[in-house]
Amino acid sequence: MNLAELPLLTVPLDLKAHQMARQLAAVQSTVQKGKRVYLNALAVYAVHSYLKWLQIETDLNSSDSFNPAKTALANVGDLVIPGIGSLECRPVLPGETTILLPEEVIENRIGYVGVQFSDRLDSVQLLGFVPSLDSSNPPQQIAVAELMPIDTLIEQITRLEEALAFLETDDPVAVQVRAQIETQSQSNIVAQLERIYRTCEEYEWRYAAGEMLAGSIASGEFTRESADRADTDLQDLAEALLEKLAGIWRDAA
Amino acid sequence: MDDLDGRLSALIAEIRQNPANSRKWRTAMNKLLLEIQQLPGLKKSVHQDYPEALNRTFEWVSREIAKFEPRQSSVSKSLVNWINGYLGWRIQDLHSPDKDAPISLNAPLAADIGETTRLELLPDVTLSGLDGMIENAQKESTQRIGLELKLYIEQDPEDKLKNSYPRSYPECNCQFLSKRRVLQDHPDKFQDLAEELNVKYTTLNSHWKRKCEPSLQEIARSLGYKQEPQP
Repeated sequence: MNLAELPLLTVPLDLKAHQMARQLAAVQSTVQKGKRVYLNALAVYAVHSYLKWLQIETDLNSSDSFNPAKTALANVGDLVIPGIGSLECRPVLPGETTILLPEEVIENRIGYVGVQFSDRLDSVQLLGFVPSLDSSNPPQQIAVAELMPIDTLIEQITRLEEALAFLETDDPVAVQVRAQIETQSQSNIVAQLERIYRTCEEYEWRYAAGEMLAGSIASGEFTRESADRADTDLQDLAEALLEKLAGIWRDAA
Repeated sequence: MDDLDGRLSALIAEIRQNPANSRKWRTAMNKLLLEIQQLPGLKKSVHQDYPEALNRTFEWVSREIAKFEPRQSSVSKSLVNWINGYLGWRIQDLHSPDKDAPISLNAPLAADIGETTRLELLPDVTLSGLDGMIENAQKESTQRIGLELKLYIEQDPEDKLKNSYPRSYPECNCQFLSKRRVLQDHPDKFQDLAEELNVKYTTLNSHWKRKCEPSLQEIARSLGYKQEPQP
């Protein structure tokens, strides 16, 4: 996919965005950090504005990127989509061809949006999106050329919404999963299942999803035998769930 | 009806036929906004609040597009007129006397040259001017969490950070890690720190996440930082 041939969406940056970014930058320890925080805030604000055009709700106030203390402690550009997860919005400055991913933003993100800046800061362009990455072996950077069109962000958000809606139904699989999940939020489980669906071969689903689900259940006292049986049960459940979700996502596609 | 008009009509029809939270509606709206941004003839202004006017206009298009009725033979011209109707009002709002900086907006650009260029009328919003603007903002700021945290990490007055480390690795303590992760403009990688301290990556990483990060956030809270910036 050659992004250079496609027109990109332009998002205007209003004075309010600059005011908020300025306030966050003003309390940082150095100019360099202030600049990082300022540009991160503008990138996040632009994606927030764009999602508002698509009538997708976001929550700037709950995002670490708009919290003075959190921005002082880490290089974050997160945007919270309530009930769904966090999106990482990374600024791309003129001449840059890769997006560096700080270690603090690799986990717990549903995906990454590249935001192109030019010298004039009255607008930015949305370069594209990559969905969440393999958290056990995450890349430290994403090439701008690897970004996919921004439509894939819509696809990603919609898939996660559909899966969460399924988990609320009376389907026996959904009921059983709800009863089993103890230590992780449903949005987290769904995000991980979606990644398995997207990145693994179908024959790997059972094991990958089972392992993921096992990690989300508080471990009790098990003998080896009962632990094996519990693993098998979980794999059955994980496989059933992923097949249900795959059905929903395939029908929609 | 040319290609563009055909595309616009199809997108608008798709939007009308689907609920706003559906994949089809969102994808069509995304494409429609992209088409609209390429249309010639959208009203422009160099007023500092023009980005806000434009942003509001796209929100309005998203809400109201179902009400759009093409009145001329050309869908695209008709759409531009329809959008300019709203955008024009938003721009006119910028002229209203209660606004701080009433600037002539619709006059051709050439009329301004000779006195002052329009760029100079805008606030300092360029990438190249950002360092200076932030430096000033930081000087004006009376309370800076970034500085206070830096001071705290360096002094660690109660040895809270220094005394927090994984068993038998006192060098891998939260003060040391905070200096290398938070205070540096370019933080060291966990992997490099682990090699330097001869500690397993997972040990260091989980100590940072489970102990250091919560401690630093607690310290930030104790320094009085809870609130988000107010718009």
